[in-house]
Amino acid sequence: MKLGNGFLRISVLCGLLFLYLPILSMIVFSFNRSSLGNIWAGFSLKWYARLFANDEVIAALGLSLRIAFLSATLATVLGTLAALALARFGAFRGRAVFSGTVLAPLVLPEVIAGIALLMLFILMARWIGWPTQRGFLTVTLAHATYSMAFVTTVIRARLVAMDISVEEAAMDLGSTPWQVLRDITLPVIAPSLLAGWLLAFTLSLDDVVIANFTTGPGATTLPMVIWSKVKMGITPDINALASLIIVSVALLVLAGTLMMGFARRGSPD
Amino acid sequence: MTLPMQNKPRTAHPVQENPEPEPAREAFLKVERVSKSFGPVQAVSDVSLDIRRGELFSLLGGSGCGKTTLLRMLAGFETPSAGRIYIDGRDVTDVPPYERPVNMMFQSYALFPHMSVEKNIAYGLKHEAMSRAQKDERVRAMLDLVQLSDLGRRKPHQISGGQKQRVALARALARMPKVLLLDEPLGALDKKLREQTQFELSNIQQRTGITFVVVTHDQDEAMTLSDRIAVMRGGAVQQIGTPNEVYEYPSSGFVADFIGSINLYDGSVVKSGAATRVRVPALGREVTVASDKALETGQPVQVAIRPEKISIAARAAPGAENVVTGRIANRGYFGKDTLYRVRLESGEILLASNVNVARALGSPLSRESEMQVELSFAPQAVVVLPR
Repeated sequence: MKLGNGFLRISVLCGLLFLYLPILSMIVFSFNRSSLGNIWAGFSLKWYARLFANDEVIAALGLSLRIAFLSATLATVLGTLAALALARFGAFRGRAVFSGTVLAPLVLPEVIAGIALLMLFILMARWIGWPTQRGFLTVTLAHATYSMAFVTTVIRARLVAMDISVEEAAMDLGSTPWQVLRDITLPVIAPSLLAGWLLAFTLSLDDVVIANFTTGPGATTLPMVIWSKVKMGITPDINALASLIIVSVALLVLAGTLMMGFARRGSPD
Repeated sequence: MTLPMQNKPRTAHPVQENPEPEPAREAFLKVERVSKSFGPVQAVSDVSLDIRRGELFSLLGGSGCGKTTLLRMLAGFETPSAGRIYIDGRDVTDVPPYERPVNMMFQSYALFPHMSVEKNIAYGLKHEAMSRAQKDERVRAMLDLVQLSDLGRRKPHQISGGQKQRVALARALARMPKVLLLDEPLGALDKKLREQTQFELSNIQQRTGITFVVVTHDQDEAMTLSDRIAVMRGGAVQQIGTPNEVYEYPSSGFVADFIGSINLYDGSVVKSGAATRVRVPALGREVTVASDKALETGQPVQVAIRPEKISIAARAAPGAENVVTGRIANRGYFGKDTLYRVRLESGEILLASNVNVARALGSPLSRESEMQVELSFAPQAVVVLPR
């Protein structure tokens, strides 16, 4: 028993190290005084200072945040509608096809999605004269399209788990279907809406492939900046930037988990 | 096995020797030849009900008998495939649930998890033309009615199952519906709480005067609660009557067997008329019955006798009618009564129950295995059913 316990602990430790050692070393080296990535020369915050003085990085960060915010919001609205259609409207005509096409991006390689969206934008520009140039708007739309599948999955799971008689009870008490949606369904699934939004936000924030295909001159997202910098060798200010991103993503995930916890405690069982 | 109680506190049903149809009163909730099918499955077939104002009416049946589907059609969640539904003279068949003058208490209670108890009860009132003060007053009255005045600010996950049940009841009653539909209202409660709540429920029904339609699979619950019961099977109504009628005058072997326990044997009429005699091979004799039905000689029938209407003794009282002999196979001791399974000479089993009036320990009847006994029953105890 004791041996088993020790073995268990070592296994868990090895697993955690395997997962987090690279990230941990990156965070540690972001505080390295030396500019050489592999030699520790004492603690310093100078890479963070240099990062914030870098206008290109700051502008890219701002663009990425705006794209992530807008695309996540768009994906949540569309994803909620799709999830409601799939979970509440019974066996309508074409339901199986709809379900398949909505969820296909989950398994579609990003490269394919990126090429397809690029083709679409080019063709649209030719036929209807829009979008005249690719950039902020096209990346936002592309991200919303891609992350909607994930949002739909999260919200649909919550809708399926929810007791339908709660909605029936509201209708029985005099509320029209729209009032039921507003008063009961949306508040009950609110935590999963937020979880879906956070997921879409993170997906957009760290996407480099689709953004590369669908952006144009003058609109460079943060992952694209990092990607182009890394091609010339890793510098400690990239470490600093990545560390900041990891911390903020970790905080978002934590918030999402807490929300899901609230959702479970609020459910009628 | 619990035998149905007949101590219903309010409308005392006169013990009728011959059930006569009650004087026809105007139906408040009228179900007219309603059927419902889901694809190839016929859930409800050709059901007609006339439910009176202020009545507590039960739909009783096993799972899959169509009782819940029927209730959901009354609420408006399902549309009948055929037939009409009228409430207080108005055809509501095609009226959506949110415009019907009925409310429903759900089996799962279906409380709104994100709202307090008060908000749950007040929810239905937001569609009513009432002032804020009137609404608050109504919510308070409802909380008083179900004795939850102190828990108004709690959330549903902070209260017990029994309390949730009462919040669900208060919420459904808050709009003072013309008809309240209750889907297995006591199903999720434990036995002790269920018995207590049964009386509370019929109390509340009496005080509010609202027509209740209760769906239940529990025959004891239906017997204790209801003014009238519709026994359902396979989507159709088998019998409608007061608890007394369906217990004492079942219309079929199924109803007789479903409500309480009963001895059912095949037989054939030997002599019809004043002192009808039926030959029952299982009992090994001809049985004298007092039947009101017009029977013909030679007609195949079923005889049904309730266990509590059979006397069991070492020797039957002198002059006892319909005496059969057998040996005790097992006993079930329930405290207030004992149920005997007696093996007859024909090999058939007869159930007989005896109320334990005396506190006797160790009478031969309660002790000796394989004891030879004599059983007897009055002609009036026998129900004759067509076969």
